[in-house]
Amino acid sequence: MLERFMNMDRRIIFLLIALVVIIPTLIPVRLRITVSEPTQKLYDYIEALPSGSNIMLAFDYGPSSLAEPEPMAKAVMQHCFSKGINVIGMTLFPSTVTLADKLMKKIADENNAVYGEDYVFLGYRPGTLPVILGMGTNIANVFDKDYQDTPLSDIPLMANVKNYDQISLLLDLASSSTTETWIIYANTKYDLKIAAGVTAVIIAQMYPYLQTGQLVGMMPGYLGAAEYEKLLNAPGDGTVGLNTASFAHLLIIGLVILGNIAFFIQRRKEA
Amino acid sequence: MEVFGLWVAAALTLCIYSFLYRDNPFYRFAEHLFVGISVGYGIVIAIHQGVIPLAWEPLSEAFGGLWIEIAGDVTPESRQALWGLFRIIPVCIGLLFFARLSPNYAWLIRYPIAILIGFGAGAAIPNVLQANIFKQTQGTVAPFVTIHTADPASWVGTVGAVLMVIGVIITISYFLISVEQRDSFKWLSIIGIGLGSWGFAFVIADSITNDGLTATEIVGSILMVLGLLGTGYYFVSSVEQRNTFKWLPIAGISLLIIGFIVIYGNTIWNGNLTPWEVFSAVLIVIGVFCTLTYFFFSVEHRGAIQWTSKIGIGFLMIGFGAAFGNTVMGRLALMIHRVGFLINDWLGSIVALFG
Repeated sequence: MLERFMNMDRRIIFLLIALVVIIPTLIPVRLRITVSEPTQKLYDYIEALPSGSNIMLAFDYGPSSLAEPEPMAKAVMQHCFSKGINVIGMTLFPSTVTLADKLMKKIADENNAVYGEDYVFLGYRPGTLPVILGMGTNIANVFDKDYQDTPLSDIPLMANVKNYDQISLLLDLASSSTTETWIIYANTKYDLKIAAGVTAVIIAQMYPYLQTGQLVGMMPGYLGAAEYEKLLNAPGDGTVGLNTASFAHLLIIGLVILGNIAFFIQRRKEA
Repeated sequence: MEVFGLWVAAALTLCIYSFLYRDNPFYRFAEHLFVGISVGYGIVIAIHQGVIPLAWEPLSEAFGGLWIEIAGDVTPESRQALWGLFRIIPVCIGLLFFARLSPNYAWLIRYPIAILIGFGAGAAIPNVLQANIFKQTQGTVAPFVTIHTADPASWVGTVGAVLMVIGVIITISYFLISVEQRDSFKWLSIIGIGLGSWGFAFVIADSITNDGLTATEIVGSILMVLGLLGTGYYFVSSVEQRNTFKWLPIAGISLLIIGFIVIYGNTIWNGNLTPWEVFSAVLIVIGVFCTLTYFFFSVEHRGAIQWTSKIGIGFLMIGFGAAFGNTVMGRLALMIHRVGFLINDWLGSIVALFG
């Protein structure tokens, strides 16, 4: 029995994982969500901003990792539009340009936001460092036109936005180390307030920046998106994803425990 | 067209997941297609969002302005466009990367690489130090400063702090046994301890006059300093001296703990910090100290250092465990997203078609 368990075909585990993901997707289950401090801090910071403030959203993730940052972007943009906060989008990833443009348009349409007045998408410019540092001096020096090829001088929203001084917060939706780059250059050099919406893979390395206040808040993966949706009282993709993930986590925890028990029993037998 | 896109996306998703059963041509096709499209798409976007707006358009306008200038039909716009000619410099530097393709001129690639590294290092060093070293160190120490509310701009406090720093440096230099210790070194310890004591007295006096530290906190601080000095002295003393003062580390650590309890018990009692905040702050300091000790290879890991580094390994493993757990969560998120797409979007479109 133990021998069979230890030599179990790994595809059985894949099948089990598939089942615990598919079943809750077909039959949605609503679990209780408690809001963690990093997400609450981000929400409070945006909530305290006056109408007409500007937030910059950096869509720094690729198509292969959009599962987590997209619900975060939806929740934050919804919050901003409901409070009359302007959203300026941009990306440091070339492969995300059309995804981010499409996403911003979709969320803006759902919230009756007007392009050029409530939100704008600047697009992509190559070279992470020159882009971040350049925008600190003058955004128009880096993005002379938006993604739709409209000169920034013709966009009403950008009329009073010259550099980071007019940006109240940069939210980096990241799947890699770009948040650290924003902190190192934009926060340290230009004192730009930075928050992060990061994929679960890089949550652990973000906590030191939260403790020092270099990040004003953070949305950690699906959990962060679900928490933000709860604060907005508008359940969305984050809530659905987190509920499904909870069942998969339970299965993985169970398998880890079973694997360890089997390992120790086998070791005792061999001894 | 949208339905066609849905079917292509669904088919490619299933091709990728077919790898979970075993390697197969469908998986390989989807994998190679993904890599190829990513690279091709990236290049197109880089040209449209980078090369064209940053190089091609300004240079075209500049050469147009130059032509007008030569023709003698000068306008303010044509004069302004001439500034674009400066873009030739970065463009030429960038083009030097292609010198790698010619064996005779491959050496030219050193120039753009040197410029890139120079720019990167120049921009990175001060900012990385500030963001990742100074701010992080400050973050580790900051919770302990909560008890000290003295005016940082006070000249008495500043003089005291400077004296203490000088005292510490001089005293440490006495214990620097890597260099030859002449008689004059003995004086260093006396001067160092003297300066340090005066500095400590200045800071305490400053704190009292500014209502910075309470009597309890001062007593606690003195106990902690005595404890640290006692324990430190034991570890730097000779084997003979250690045999004489066997009780010193126990007494030092006891004083350290008592001082800590006195200070932070008082801080918690006054409501400046919650017990959880004190616990977190202490845990972070212990974690940082033990982890750094693990990576400190200049001394042999034996005795107290061995135990400290073992605790450091524990902290490291907890850190790696948290990172691994989050990675599993991230990978599951990707799967949930794709399953959601297959069930809601793809199958949903089929149901809608027949429903």
